[in-house]
Amino acid sequence: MTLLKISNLTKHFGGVQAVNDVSFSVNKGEIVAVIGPNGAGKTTLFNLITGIYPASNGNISFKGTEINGIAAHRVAQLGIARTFQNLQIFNNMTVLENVMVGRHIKSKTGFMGAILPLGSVQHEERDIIEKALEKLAMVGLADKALEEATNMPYGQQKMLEIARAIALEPELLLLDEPAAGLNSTETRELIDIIYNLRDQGVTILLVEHDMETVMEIADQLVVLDFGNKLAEGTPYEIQNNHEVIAAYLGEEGLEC
Amino acid sequence: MNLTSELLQYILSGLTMGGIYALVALGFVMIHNVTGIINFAQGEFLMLGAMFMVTLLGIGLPAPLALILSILIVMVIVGIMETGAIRSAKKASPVTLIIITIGLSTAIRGIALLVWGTNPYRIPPFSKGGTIHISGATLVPQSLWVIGTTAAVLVLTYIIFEYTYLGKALKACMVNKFAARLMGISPQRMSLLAFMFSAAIGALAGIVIAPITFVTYDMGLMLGLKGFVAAVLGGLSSTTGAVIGGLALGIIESLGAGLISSGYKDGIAFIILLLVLFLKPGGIFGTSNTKRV
Amino acid sequence: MKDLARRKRLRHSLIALFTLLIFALPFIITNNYYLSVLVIIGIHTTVVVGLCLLMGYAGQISLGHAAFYGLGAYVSGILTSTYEVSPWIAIFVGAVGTGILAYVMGIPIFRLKEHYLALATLGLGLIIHVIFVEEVELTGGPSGLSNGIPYLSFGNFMLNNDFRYYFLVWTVALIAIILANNVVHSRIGRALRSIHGSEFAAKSLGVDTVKFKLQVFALSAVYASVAGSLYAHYITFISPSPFGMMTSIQFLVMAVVGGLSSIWGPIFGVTAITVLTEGLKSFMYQFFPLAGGEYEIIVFGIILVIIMIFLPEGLTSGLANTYESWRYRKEKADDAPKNQ
Repeated sequence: MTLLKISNLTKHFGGVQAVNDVSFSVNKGEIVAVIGPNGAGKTTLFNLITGIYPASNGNISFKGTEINGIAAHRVAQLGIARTFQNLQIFNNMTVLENVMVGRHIKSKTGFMGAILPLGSVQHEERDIIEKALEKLAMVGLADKALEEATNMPYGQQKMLEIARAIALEPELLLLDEPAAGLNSTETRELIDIIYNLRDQGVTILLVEHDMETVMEIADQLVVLDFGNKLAEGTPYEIQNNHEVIAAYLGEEGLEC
Repeated sequence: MNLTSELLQYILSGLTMGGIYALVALGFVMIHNVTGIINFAQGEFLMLGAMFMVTLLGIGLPAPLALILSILIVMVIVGIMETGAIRSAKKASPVTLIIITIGLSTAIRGIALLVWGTNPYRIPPFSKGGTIHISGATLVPQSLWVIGTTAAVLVLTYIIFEYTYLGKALKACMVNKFAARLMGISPQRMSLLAFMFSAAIGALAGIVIAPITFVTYDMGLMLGLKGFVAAVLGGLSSTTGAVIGGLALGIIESLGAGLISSGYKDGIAFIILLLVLFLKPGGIFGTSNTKRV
Repeated sequence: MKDLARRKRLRHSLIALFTLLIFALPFIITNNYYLSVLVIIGIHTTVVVGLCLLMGYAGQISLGHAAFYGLGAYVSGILTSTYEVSPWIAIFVGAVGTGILAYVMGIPIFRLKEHYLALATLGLGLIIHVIFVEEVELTGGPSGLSNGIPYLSFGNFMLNNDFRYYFLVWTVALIAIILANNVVHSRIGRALRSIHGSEFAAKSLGVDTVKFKLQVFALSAVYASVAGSLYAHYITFISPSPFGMMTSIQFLVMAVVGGLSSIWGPIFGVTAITVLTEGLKSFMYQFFPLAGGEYEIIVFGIILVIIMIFLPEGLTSGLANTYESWRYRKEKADDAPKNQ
């Protein structure tokens, strides 16, 4: 079943064509990786899907509904969560609180409830904490719950962002360069987490530069270059695609 | 007075204040473009210029000397302010910087209060002569000095930007800070320069408007705020915009006060501020995608 | 979980202790002048608690908050003196009206970013102040409301002296603090703080950042309005001068000095600044006779600059953070030998 369908997606910023007529689909339960040289438009693609800005042209369809142009927080409410390439953890909160914010749309206490926390509100609070701890345990950070997020090492902050995103219990999870800056042990842990999530039914779309990881875990690859889609296919197909090799390594690479 | 001469009167007095607003706005834009800072203390530069003029004239210095000295003193004070306070806060968020300049403006005003007290002072007009009459409207000679000074400052600024190395460096910084750095232009020096240049313009403006309004320790507050509105009106990114914004604000304010309600004169500027911020934050000349979510 | 419960109990006990202290104070301090200063501190604390919610937790800014303070004062003043409305109803009307005004004006204001946002709040505050001055028929203009504003009373029990008013004001202030504390430690509080932490990330987690900003802006305006009403019924006379830009800056300084992201920040900040100001008044007059008044503005200015440069989180958080990082380093030092 098609979960996400990108059709003729185009985005320009002034004179710069960031994404140009890109089309592909992501099926439920798949792990799809978007790869391409720097500046290829990958993060722009993510920003378009998650509603940071609207596309100049084209469609984004999620579970059959058109989501291009709707507000970012609405996109999250529909079941799409993401992490950020340049880490956007909440530095003014603890690790646990970061993930608790991830439970925001799964809870409903408003201002009135906040001001006068009666029984049901306290119950919901305990629930939020429990679920948040659960997600932290999934990424191996349960014992760091009360640490200040800003004091954590980089690798753990990346895991924190993932825990926070999955606290949303999204159907589609967008990971923007999750392996960047991780050492091999941490990358291994990341891969395990991703497989875990897939087993739980989460569809994953990721942007990644670490080719080893990508080739290992992805079911499908989409290759972008200068905003255009170069190729789409299984890891094996992409590895043997001449255009892709040329884009990455230049014409000389073909000689290798 | 018939309607045309009434209108002419408003426009002329509007041009006078507009000239001052334009000068304040020019100072704002200069600092903002080079450093990205919104300098709430701009109005205080005017007050300091006028106050030092008063003091220097009071000890018997001839007017031209007092003028030059006042401007230099204000430039030095502002230079110290920039190196001391502003530079240490360079990495702060834009809002923190605003609060800092508000703090500085408050501090300067307070010190002025201590030194010069609450008494209003007077500076004699630059030239003798009675009121000038132009088809039913009146003008004091000092107004001509104001308008003339504004024009002269603009021409001077243009010349400095186009024909001197420092001016071109400043302009380069305003257009593209990063590229300027690559060319060997030091942003710190440019920041200091921008501040001192704005200080000079501000001090001069304060001195030239002083014979028309009283000189008080808090005269900088309103002038600064309105000059700031003028800068926003013109689009914080453009020196031409600043000037046109200033003149426009002066005239609109004057017409509004005369035709609609004199009490709400100050309110007019602030309503214009909100209208611009809400409808076109980039101002008349700026781009319309400035700092919106 | 246990750790969290312990922290919560600690917070609650501190608040209880503080409440006891506050209510015991007027029995110890009998000097009327000091009592009146404490009343004013209580009123200002209510305003600054709201301001801290807006600035410290949601990360927004208001350079015109004195206007909301003034609206509460004027609505109460006008309704009770000119139209003889019951004061309690007037306070309510003022609060609701000011809250709605803030919400509505917030819609265009919060579309702006950073310094444009700050300036829009400044502009709003200035315009409201001009209205206070110019609408002479309604507000009495610069000379203030001429009909006396009645005292507040519970039936026959009139709150017409400092001792009685102190309890009312501090009850309100404590309620304000406790309510704010509840909000901060709730889903709403986390949402607000997430906006401050990273607006992009907050949105990506489903937080309707626009709605929250408007709500917290309106809430902070309501706090200020109630405080303003209390002010009106205390002094029983109001004029536009305490509701201008200088007062907005004063509230800002109090919020910043106390520490924007701490429950105790507002009280600390208000007390520190008020004590400094009052002390300065007597000191200044002896040495600088030329200065007619308002020399506290120098102090505000200098304090603001110094704090913003060196301790942007304010005194309470800044000191707390320094303590925290000292403790963290100490723990690391203690751990080190074991790792060998």
